[in-house]
Amino acid sequence: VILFVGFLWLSLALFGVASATLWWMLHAWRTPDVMSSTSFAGTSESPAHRFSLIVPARHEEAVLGETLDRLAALDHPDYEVLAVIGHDDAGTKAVADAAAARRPDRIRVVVDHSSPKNKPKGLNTALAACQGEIIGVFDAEDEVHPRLLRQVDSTFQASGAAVVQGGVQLMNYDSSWYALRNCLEYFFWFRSRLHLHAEHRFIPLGGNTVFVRTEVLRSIGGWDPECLAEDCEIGVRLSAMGARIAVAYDPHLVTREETPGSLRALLKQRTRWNQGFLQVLRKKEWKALPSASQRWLARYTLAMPFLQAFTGVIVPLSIFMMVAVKVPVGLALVSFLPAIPTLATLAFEVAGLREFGRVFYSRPRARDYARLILGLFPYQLMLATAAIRAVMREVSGQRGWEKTDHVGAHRGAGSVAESRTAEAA
Amino acid sequence: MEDATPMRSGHQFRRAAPLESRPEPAEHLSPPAVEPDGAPYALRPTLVMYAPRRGQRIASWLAQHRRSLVVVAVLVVVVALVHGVGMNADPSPVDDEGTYLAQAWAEVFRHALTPYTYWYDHPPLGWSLIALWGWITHGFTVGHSALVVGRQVALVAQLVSVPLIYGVARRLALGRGWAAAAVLVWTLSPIDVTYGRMVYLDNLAVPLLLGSALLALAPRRGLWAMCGAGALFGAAVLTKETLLIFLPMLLWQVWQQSDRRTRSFCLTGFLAGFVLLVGVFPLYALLKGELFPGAGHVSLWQAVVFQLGTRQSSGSILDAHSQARSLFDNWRSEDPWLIGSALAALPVVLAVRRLRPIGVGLLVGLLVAVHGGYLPQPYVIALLPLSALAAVGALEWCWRWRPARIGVAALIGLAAILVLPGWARADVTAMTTNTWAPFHSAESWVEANVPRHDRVLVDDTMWVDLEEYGFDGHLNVVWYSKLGSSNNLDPSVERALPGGWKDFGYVVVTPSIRASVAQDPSGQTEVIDAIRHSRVVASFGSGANQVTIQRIEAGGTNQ
Repeated sequence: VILFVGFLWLSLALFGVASATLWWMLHAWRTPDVMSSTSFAGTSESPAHRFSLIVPARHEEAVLGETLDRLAALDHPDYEVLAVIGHDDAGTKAVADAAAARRPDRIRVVVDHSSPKNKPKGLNTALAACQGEIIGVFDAEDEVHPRLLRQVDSTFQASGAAVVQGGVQLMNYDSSWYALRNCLEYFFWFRSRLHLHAEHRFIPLGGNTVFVRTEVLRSIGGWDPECLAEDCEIGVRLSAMGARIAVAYDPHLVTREETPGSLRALLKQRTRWNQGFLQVLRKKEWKALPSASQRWLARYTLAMPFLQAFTGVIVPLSIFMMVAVKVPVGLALVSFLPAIPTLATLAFEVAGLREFGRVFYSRPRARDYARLILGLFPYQLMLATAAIRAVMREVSGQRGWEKTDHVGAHRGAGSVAESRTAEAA
Repeated sequence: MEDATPMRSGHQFRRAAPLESRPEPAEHLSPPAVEPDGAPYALRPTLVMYAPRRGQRIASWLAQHRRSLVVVAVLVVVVALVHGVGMNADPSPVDDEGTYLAQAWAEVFRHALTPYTYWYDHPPLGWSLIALWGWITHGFTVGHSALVVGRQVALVAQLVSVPLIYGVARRLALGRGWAAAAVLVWTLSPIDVTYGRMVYLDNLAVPLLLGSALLALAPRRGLWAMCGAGALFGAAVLTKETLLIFLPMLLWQVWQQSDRRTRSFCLTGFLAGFVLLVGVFPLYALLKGELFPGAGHVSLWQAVVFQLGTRQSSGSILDAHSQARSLFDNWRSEDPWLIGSALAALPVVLAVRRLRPIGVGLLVGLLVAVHGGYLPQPYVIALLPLSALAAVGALEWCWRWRPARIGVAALIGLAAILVLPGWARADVTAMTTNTWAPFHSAESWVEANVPRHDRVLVDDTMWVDLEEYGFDGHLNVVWYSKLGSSNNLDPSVERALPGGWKDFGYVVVTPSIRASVAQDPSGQTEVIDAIRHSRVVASFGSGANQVTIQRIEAGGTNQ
C-alpha cells in the first residue's frame, strides 16, 4: 500500500512538472497578442550607442576567421570587436591577428593570461579593455545578422533596459537525430520561454547575443570566473538586482549556431550547463529576488534540467511497468497521468518543427518528423545521463570546463564562397 | 515554402520584412520609469497595472455582462419549468434509460461499471456522471424510482446547456435577443422537451459539446482555450461516442477562429486535448487485457466492429421502408419545425463565414443519417441545439441586410402563427400528462405479489427498483436484452441460465419490450417464447403504455 501511495504521489508530481514545462514552453503561442509582444520593438531609431563585441575563442582556428570577418561587417557605425585568445593558443591567435590585420579599425585581439582558462575569465579580461557603452558577447562559431546591432541599439533606446537578450538558433537540424531535437530546444527556448522569464523578471541569460550596459556589468564585478554557466549566473544576478531586461526575437535576426558535433560532445556540453545551473542554484543569489513567486520560478528553472530529465526517463519506465506488472486498473490509469503532458509535448514539438521550417524557410521532411518522434526517449536518456553526470561531477568537486568543439556545420558550402567574395570585395 | 537552401546560405533572406505584425511593444519593452531612489535601470513593479486583482476582474466581468446574466437567469427559470414540471411522469420510461441507471447504480453500490459484464457498448463517462449525482444526492436510496435520478441529471444537463448555448450564440455574433431566441427555440421545441427529459447519454454529452464550442470560439483565441475545447469534446465523446460526428465541425471552428501565426499550435492543442482524453478509454481496455479479442473475454475491438459494422443497419432515411426512416418519421412527429427550419437555413448558414462551422456540423450529421448504418433513437438530440443556432443565426444574418427585413419579419410572424400554438399544446401536454402510472403500478404489483425467489425477466427500467425491493439483481431479476439479443456481446447470462426462458417465472412486458420484439424478432426468440408460454396475471394501463405481468407456465424458479 505504501508503495502504491508513493507511486501515486510520484505520478502526480511528474504530471505537475511535465505540465508546467509544457505551459512555459508554449508561452509565445498562448494568444496572438502574446505572439505580437515577443518581437523586437518595431522602432528603428538612429544608432546612439557604442558597442564592444567580445568573442572568446579557444582552439577555434577553423571558424574564428570567418566569424570575425562577418562581425567586422555589421551594419552599425560605432562598434569594436574584441577577440579574446588564450596566451597558450598560438593557432587561434594567428587567425585572430590575421582578421585584425584585415580590419584594424574594427577588430582588436586581447590575450588572456589567466589559468586555468575558461570563458568567464576570458570575458572579464576583455571587459577591462572594452571602450563601448554596451558590451555584446558572441561565440567563435556564431553567424550574426548584419542588421542585428542596429536593432539592438534601437531596443536599448526604446526600452531603457540594462540588458537585451537576442535570439540564438541552432540551424543544422538535419545533421542527426539529436541535432534535430537540440535545434528545437533552442527554438522553443528563445522563441518562447525566455519571454516568459522576462515577463516574470527572472531570467537565466543565454551565452551569446546578449548585450549589457558596460557600467552595469562593471558595477557588479563582471562574470563569475568559477561558474560553469556564467551566462545563466549573470542573468540571475542582474534579475536579483532588479535590472530591466528586454528579450526580443525576430527569426531573421537570430544568431545562427550549430549543434555539438557528436552525441558525446552534446552530453559534455549539457553536463556543463547542468552543473552550472546547479552551481547557480547553490550560490543562492536568486534569494535576493523581490517576490516569492520569482524565487519559486528561480528554484524551479534552475532545478529543471534534473526534473525534466527524470520525468522523461521515468514515464516510459512506468508505462512498461504498468503493462508488465499486474496492478489495479485504477492505479495503472493514474500512473499514466505524466504520459499525458509528455505526449502533448511531443505533439507540440511536431507543430514546432513545422513552425521552425516556416520561419527559417526550410521544409522538414517526413524523415525529420519520424526522427523527432523516435528521438524522444533516447534524447531524454541523454538528458538524464547529463543530469546524473553533472551531479556526480559537482559532488566530487570536478569543476573543469568541458569545452564544445565547432566544425561549422551550420554554415552551408555556399557560405565559405560567400565569405571569400566578401573578402575580395 | 521553399526548399532548404536559403537557410544555409548565410544571410540571403528572401523576405526582408519581419513576419509578425507588431501592434504594440511588450510590457518589458515599455519606456523606462523614473526611479524614486535613482537606481540606474532598476525596475518598477509595473506588472501590477496589467494584472488587476482577481476580485476586480470578476466584478468587471459581471458588470460587463449584467444584461446577458439577467437574460440567462430568466431563460434558466423558463427551461427549468417547462422541462422540470412533469418530467417524472412523461415520457414513459424507455429501456435504454434503465440500462444507464442500472450501470450508474452498479458504480455506486457494486463499484463496477455495470451489473453485468462491461462489454464496451458505450464509454462509461455518461453514467459515471449519473452515478456521481446519485451518490451526492443519495438518490438511489430515497423512496422513488431510480429513473427519477436519471431524469434529474438530464434536467441539470439541460439547464447547464442554457448559458453555454447562449454564450455560443453570442460568440457567433448574434445579438442578445436573437441568442435568447435560439435558446428558446431549442429548449421549447416539443422534440427537445420529449427527448431532452430522457436519460440518454446524448443529453449528458450536449453540454460538453456546447462547452467545447464555446471555448473554441474564445475571443482571445488562447491556446489553452483550444486545448480545453479539445478536452471537453473528448469528454463528450467519452459520454456518447456518436458525438464523434462533430469533430469536423470543431476542427473547422478552431481553424477559423485561430490566428494565422498560432493556428498550427491551436489545432495541435485541440487535437492533443481530444486524443489524450479519449485515449484513456482504449488504455483502460488495454490494461484490463480487453483491447483485442481473445478467448474468454469481451473486447473493445469487437464492440467497435459491432457498432460500426455488424450491427443491424437501420438503412438510410431516404429509403421509405427503412428503420431509419421510421425513426426519422418518429422525430418528425414530435416536431418537424426545428430540424426543418435548420435544413432550410443550411445554405445561408454555410454561406456566412461566422456560422459555417455550425453548418458543417449539421451537414455531417445529415450525411451520416442518409448514409445508413445503425442509427440510434437519440441520434437527433445533439443536432437540436445546432439546428436552433443555425435557424436563428440565419434569420439574424438575413435581418442585417436591410432590404430583406420585411421578408424576415413576415417569416418570423408566419412561423409564430404556424408553430407556436402547436408547441404550446405539446409542451403543456408534456407538463401535465402522466404516462408513468402503469409502470409504477406494475412495479408495486411485483413487489407485493411475486415471491423473491422467483426469477423475473424485465426491461432494464425496472431492474434497479426490483433490486432495491429485495430481488437478487444478479440472476433473479434479469434484463431481457441479456437473453440472446443481437444488441449484446456479453454471453455471461446465457451461460448461467442455459434453460433460457424456461428458467424464468415471470416476465414484465413493457412498451420497450414490445417495441424491441417487433423491431428485431429474430434476435429476441427467448423473450418471444417467454411471452408465448405465459399468461397475464396483472395488467396496467392501456394502448401503447400498457404494462402486463405475465406468469411463465412451463418455467420454474431458480430453486
